[in-house]
Amino acid sequence: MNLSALEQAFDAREAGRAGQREALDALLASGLPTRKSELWKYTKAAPLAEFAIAALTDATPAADIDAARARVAQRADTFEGAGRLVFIDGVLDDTLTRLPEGVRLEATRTPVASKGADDALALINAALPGADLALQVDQDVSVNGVLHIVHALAAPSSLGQVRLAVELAPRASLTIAEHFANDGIGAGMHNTVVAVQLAEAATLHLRRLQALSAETLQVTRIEATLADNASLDTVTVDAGGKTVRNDLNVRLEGPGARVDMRGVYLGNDKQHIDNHTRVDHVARDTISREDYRGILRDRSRGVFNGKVFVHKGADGTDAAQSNPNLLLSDHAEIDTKPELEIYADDVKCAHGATVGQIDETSLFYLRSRGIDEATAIQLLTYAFCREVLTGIENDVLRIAAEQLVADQIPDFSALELIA
Amino acid sequence: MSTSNAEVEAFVDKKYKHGWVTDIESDTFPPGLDENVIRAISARKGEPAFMLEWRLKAFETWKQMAEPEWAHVDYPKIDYQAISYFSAPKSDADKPQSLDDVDPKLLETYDKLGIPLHERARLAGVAVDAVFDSVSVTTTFRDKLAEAGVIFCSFSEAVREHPELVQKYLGSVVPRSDNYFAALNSAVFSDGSFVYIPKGVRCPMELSTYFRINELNTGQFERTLIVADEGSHVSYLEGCTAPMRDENQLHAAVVELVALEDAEIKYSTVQNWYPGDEDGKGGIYNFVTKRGDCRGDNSKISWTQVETGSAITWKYPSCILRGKNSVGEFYSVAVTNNLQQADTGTKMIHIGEGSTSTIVSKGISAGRANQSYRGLVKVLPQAKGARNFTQCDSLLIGKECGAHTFPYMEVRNASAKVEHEATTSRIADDQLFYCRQRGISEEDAVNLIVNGFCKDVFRELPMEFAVEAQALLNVSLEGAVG
Repeated sequence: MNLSALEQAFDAREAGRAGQREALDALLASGLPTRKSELWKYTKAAPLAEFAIAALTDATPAADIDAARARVAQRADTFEGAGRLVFIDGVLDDTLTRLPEGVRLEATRTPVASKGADDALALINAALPGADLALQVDQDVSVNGVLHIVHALAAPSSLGQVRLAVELAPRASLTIAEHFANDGIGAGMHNTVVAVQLAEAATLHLRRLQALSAETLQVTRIEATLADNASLDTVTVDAGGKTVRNDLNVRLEGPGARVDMRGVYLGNDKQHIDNHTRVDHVARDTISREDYRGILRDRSRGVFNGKVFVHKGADGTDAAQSNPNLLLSDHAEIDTKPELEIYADDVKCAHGATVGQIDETSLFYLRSRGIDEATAIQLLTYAFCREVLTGIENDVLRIAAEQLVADQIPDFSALELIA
Repeated sequence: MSTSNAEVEAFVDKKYKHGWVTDIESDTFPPGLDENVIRAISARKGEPAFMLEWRLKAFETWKQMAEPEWAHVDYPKIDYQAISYFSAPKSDADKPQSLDDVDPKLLETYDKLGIPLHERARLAGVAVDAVFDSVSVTTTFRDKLAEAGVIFCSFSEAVREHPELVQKYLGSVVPRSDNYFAALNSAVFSDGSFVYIPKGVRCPMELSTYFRINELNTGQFERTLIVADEGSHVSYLEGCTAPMRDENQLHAAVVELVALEDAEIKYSTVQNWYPGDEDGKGGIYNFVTKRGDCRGDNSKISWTQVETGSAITWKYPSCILRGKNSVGEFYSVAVTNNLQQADTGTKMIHIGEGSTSTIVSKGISAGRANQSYRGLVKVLPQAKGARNFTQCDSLLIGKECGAHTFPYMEVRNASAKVEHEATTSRIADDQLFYCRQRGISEEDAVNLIVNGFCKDVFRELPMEFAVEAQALLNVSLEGAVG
C-alpha cells in the first residue's frame, strides 16, 4: 500500500506531539511488513494500517464524542473499583477519569523502539495523534482494588490510539483491567502500546477483556521489563473483533522475576485473532508460565505464536508454555507456533500445542448423566476456557470475563448450572 | 581443502574468460557455472534430450532465485562461480597408496567405530587392492535383485536404460523450482541412485548406497529417486557411520520418494561427513532436499536419520500424505558439537483422509554448536480425521551451545488431531550421580544417558545400523563433557 498518502495527511494536520515526525519518518523508511515477515506470516498488516491512515483525515464530530462519553458513563458501575482511566478515540476523558490514591498520571513522551517493518503498527501509534501518558506508583504502595482502563470509540471511522507507560517503583503493586469497547457504533479501530516497567519486587496484574463488534479492528502491544523478583501476571480474553492482533513481549531482566501469561481467544464467523507473545529470559533463575487457549468456529482463524528466548547466562530458567486449541468447524483454521530459542544449558523448558476436538470420554460422561449432547458440548467448551479465567482473583472481573466467554458459545444457557 | 582452493584459484586466474567452451573430455571442468557447463555435463553423461532440457530449465529458474536466509545458520557467502561442477574420478595414482598415507586421526576414529580393516582402506579413499574390492559381493547382490525385478542402479545408468521411468517421476516430488539448492541440483546433478520396485514385490534385501556401483566423487550434487509401485516394499540405507573422505565443501543433494498404493518405503540415513575442526574450519555444507510423496492410498514413507557430521546441515525430509490413510514418519537424532550448526526437521502435509504422521526428533547440542528443529504440520480441509503426533526433545551439553525449536502447525480440518510436545534440558545431575554411584565412569554414564535419550529413534533403524549409530554418537560427543 501507498504510505505517501499518510505523509500528505500528516503534513496537512501539522501534528504537534513530540516524536511524531520521527516515527513517521521511520515508518516511511521501513514500510509495512509483508507475509514474508515471520512475525506477520498469518495476519495482513496492510488493512490495519489503511484504516488507521484513513482515520487521520476523518475528524470525529464533537457530538459523537459526547454520545460516547454518555455511553461509558451509563455503564460506569461496570468499571467500579479503585479508579478508572477513560479514553475516547485515544483522548483521555477528564470528566470520567478518576485516579486511585497512590497512582500518578503524567504526560510523557514514550520513545519508540522500532526494528523495522515488523513494528509498523507501533510506529503508526507513535506517528498519529493519541494519548501519551505515564502511570506511576510509588515505592511500597499497594493499590487496593482494580484500576480500569476503558478504551472507547465514538464513530465507525474512529481510531483509538493510546500510548501508556506503566511504571511501578520497588515493591509497589497494582491491578489493571483494560476494556476495549466500541459500544455498538459498528466499526472502528484500537491501536495501543503499553510499556510496563516493574522495579524490584513490584507486582502488576493485568487483565484485558474485549468483545468488540465483528467490524472492529484491534492492535495492542505490550512491552514489559521486569527487575529482580518482579512479577507480571496477565490474562487476555479476546471474544470479539474483526481482526485482532496482540503482541505481548516480556523481558525478565532481574533474577527471580516471573511472568504468567494466560489467554483465551474465541473466534466466530470470519474473525481473525492473532496472539504473539515473547518472553526473554535475560537473568538467571527466572520463571515464565504461559497458557493460551483457542476455540475456533465458523470461518474464523486463530493464530498463536509463543516464543521463549533464553539468553546466554540465564541459568536456572524455568519456562513452560501450552497452547491447546479446539477446532469446531471445517472452515475454521488455526496456525500455531510455539518456539524455543535457548542459549544456556541449565534450563528447564517445555512447550506443547494441540489442535483437536472435544474429548469423547468427557462427552460420554456427561451424556451418561442425562445431559443432552448440545449442552454437554457447550459445557465442555466453556470448561476448556474457564481454567484460564480462574487466574483472575477479582470476582467481579472474573464473572465479567466468564460472561464474555459464555456469550461467544452459541445458545449457551447452562451458565447457571455451574455458577 | 587448501590444495583444491589453490587449484581453484589457479583456474580462476588463468582460464576463466567469457565465452570459453568446456572441453567435455577433460577430467575436471574449470570452475564456473553457465549454460555451457550444463550442456557439457549432459553430453559427458550421454543423456537423452529431455534430460538436457530439464537441466537447462532448472538453471534458468535457479538464476532467478535467491539463496534462502531464513534458516538459523550462519556461514560465509558461497561463490557459485568458484566451484567446479564436474570432476571425473581420480585415478589410482593420485590416491593414498596405503593406510600408512592416511591421516592417523581418521584411522583412530575407524578404530573406535570398530570398522573392519579392509573397509577402512576403501573409506579413506585408498586405491583398493583387487582382493578387497567389493565387486564380487555386488554382483551376487545384483543377480538377486534382478530376479525379483528390482531396478537398482546409478542415476546415469537409469537415464540411459529406463528413460521412461525417469521422465515420469523425476521432479514429480521435488520440482525444479522447489528451492534454491534443489534448483541448483536439478541443473548440475552429477549422479546418484535410482530404485524401482515393481508391483507387489518386497525387495529381498536392504538396499544400500554402500554397494552401489557408481562413479566415485559424485557426492556433491547427488540425486536419488526411489519409486515403489503398488503393494511393494523397500528399505533403503544411505551413508555410513564412518567419516568419508570428501573434497567438496558444498553438498546439495535431492532425494525423491514415490510410494504408490499400499507401498512402503523406509529410508534410513546416517550422515557423518567432516564437521570441520574444533574452531569450525573446513567442514561440509550439507544442504539437502528430501521429500516423499505418499501418492497412493494406504502408502507409507518413513524417514529415519542420524545426523552427526557436516559443519552446516540444512535438511527437512518431508512427506506429502496424499493417499487415503497414508502414513508419514520422521525419526531423527541430530548431534552437533564444537562449532557445528544444524537446522533440520520435517514437513508433514496432510491431504488424504485418515492420513497419520509421527515425528520424533532428538537433538543433542554440545560445545559451541547451535541446533534447530524446524517443522511444519499442515492439515488441509479435505484431510478428514488426520492425525499427527510430534515429540521433539533437546539435550544441552555445555554452557556455550544452543538448542531451538520452531514448529509450525497449520490446521484447517475440524476432525484433525495435532499434538506437539517439546522439552529442552541438560543431563540431570541426579542421573549422572546415580550412574557414578554404581561405578560407571562419567564418560560412560553420559553415553548411557544420551543413548537412552535417543532410544526411540535408534529403535527405528535397521539393526546393524543402530549398533553403529550408537558407537558413532559416543565418538561424536567425545570431549563434550568433563
